[in-house]
Amino acid sequence: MAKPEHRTELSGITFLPESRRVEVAPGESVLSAAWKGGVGIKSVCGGRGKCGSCLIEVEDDQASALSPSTEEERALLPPGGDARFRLACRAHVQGEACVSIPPESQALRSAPRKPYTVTRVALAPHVKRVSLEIEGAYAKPMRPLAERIGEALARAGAPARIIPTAVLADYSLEKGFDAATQVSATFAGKRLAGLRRGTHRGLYGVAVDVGTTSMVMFLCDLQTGEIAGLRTAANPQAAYGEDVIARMTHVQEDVAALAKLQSLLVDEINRLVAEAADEAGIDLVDIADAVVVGNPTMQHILLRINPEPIGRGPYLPVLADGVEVEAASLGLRLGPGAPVFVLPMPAGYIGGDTLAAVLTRGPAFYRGTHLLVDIGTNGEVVLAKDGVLTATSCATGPVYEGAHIRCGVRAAPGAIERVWADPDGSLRWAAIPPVGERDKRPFGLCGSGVISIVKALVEAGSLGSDGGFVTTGAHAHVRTEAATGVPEALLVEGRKTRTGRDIVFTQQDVRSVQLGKAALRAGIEILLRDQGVKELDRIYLAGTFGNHLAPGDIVAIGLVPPVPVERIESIGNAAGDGARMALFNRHERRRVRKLAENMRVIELSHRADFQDLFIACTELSAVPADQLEAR
Amino acid sequence: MSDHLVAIKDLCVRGKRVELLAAIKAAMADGIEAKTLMTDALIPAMSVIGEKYSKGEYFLPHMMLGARAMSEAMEAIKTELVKGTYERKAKAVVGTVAGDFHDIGKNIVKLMLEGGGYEVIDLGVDVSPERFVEVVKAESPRFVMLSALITLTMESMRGTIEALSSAGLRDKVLIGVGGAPVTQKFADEIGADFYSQDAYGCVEKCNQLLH
Repeated sequence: MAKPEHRTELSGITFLPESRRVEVAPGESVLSAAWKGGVGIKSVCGGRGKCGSCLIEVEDDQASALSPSTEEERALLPPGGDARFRLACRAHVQGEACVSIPPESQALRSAPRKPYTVTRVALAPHVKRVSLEIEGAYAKPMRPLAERIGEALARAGAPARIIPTAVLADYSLEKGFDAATQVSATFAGKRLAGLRRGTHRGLYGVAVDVGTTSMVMFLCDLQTGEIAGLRTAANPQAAYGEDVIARMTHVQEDVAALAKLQSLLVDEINRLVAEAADEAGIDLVDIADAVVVGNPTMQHILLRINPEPIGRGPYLPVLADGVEVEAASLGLRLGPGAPVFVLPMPAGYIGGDTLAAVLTRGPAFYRGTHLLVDIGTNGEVVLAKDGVLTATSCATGPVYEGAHIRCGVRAAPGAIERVWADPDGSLRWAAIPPVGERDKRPFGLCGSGVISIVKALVEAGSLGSDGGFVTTGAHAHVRTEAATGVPEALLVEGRKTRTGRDIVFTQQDVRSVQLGKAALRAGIEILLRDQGVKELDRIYLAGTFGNHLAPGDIVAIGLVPPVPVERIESIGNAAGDGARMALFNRHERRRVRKLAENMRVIELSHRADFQDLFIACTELSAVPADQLEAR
Repeated sequence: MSDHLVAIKDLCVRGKRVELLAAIKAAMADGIEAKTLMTDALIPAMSVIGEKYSKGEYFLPHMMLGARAMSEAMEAIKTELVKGTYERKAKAVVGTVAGDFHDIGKNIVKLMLEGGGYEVIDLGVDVSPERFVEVVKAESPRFVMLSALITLTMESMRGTIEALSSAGLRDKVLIGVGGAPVTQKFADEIGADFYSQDAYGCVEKCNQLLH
């Protein structure tokens, strides 16, 4: 490490444990250096010094390499005043520095643990291959190649005879294109998408589910209906803040950030497709179709449309329709002329991912009274009642992903995912089992662990149903923080954790969970009220997080209306499943457009009863809807 | 006499509206002045609520109940207050800025301010800079409180302050900003007069600025 006297204009910062060094201009924040170097640091607020999630550790001898901490920063640091901790967004690099990123601050890279649920789809792809016999240049009467291709298309009974100039131009680059030959024509619907010499048997497509934090890509065989390859990855935009608002803020500040965000996303999709195709021995040119789903912000960014209006009232998307564009125009590297279908987004916070999840439920979803809840940083709720679809979205905040929680961490080996209370009131826990790691010690609570500990604490009598800690005659796990006089629950002592720090659940953590759960439950109740629904036949939980929640837990803390637990069903990454359905079967695309047209979206902020309902829903118990008002 | 005040303060802290109003009636029947009720019971109650909230002991429901009880109590003693030497401390305009529909925090600030003896004009949510200018012109308030709950709508705070400046009204009012994403730093950057992290802090800041 360079000593201060060796300082040059451009210094560097080394990030541990990866040991990656990034060059920085003096005065740049540690977080921005990490973004530049592709080093993942958790940043819930996107570097605005509000959330305290980008905690880094700095050894004593490194302290002078960073700007001194301010009062505002110290307020967000862990209590105890340990000078080693800093916030990456508030510490500015002054010289050659070395910092380490503790596990709890490493960027959320949680890929879905169970990326798909098999859904059988009848094959009726949007794209098709037609084999053509094209005459040579000397065939009489002699006529231009385009005319000869047109005739071949007619002979083969192809869906259309118009040859787009771009397709012709592309074909004219092939060797021997002008000779008599066999040609494969690919059609996307009625549009001729590509011409290639020779016979091509393979016909593939990709379905991508772009989440704010992670993404899943399926490479699919359009002739057999099989999944030929599968890749999951973190959304590389996470470096620009963890939620959609943080990403929009970057675009608001500098519109050039949109192109950057778009290319990060497209490059990552290209990488996943290329890897999976290579592994499966599939030629990229045989990938003839694509479907992308995501929340409206992700879909806007992919299409290079400014998503900023979604972030402020009246929360409208710029574009609501589903669109088919040429994949290459977005920078996607698939077969020549391949289209990409981006699903409709009926409202600013109801996107193709929600529609795709509804699609997986089939027409049976309309019949009876069904609720579909997709839980993430934003919660989407869709209610079907006797053929009528209503939907809303709720700002649940990132608590379900373990963020905004003192000891919240991503779902990874060593993260506590379940907590329960023994009959004597003592707390027990289980962590995600380590894979090939020797260190079996836990390092924090992931989203399902967070919900689980709240339920356990209420059950043990340590938390009142109003969310306040009970301090009189309390169990041993409830202790009062000496500095502030605020109570908290001790789950694992520091000597038994990977970080050496206690794993605790604070009063503020309980409040964050209450806010997140109240938003979701109030959203659900508004839909139920609007449609006069008293009883639900079934609740479907979509999304990665929904997969790991115990139905008993979420009913007990009132996250969803009280229903018998057997009526709650986790449907996994339904958005990805729905995207595959739209890829395999063009009729599903028509259905999804119809879904979007028929869905009535209710904006919660315009409802006069939302405030009281929201406040009543902070209650941590299985309160039935009709008793919510009374409280 | 102090028994009345202790009981009233306690009922207000616990948000017991009906009992609070009854206790106020009884206290006034016993000859306790409205002004004493306000300064020695209701305002101290508000500071207890604020403190409990900032420690996490109290949460939104408590805060809302307490603030509503306070506001109703103020309403109940208002006629008596007007008869006495008391007058409203100052006029304040509150509103959630353009593009933002978040209501709850702004409503709590409104109730707290009313409880603290201020006359409050609530412009609601999604309030345009022009509307703020119009009302400030017409009502000449001492304070303008801007709320924003989304990072993106924080820019509307800047826009509102700029609009007040170009209308030549900036020096006539004290501007306070608040809401989850707002920081002291942001408040300084857009030239607000003060920032508060919570509703009670906002009332305290207003009180300090008046003195």
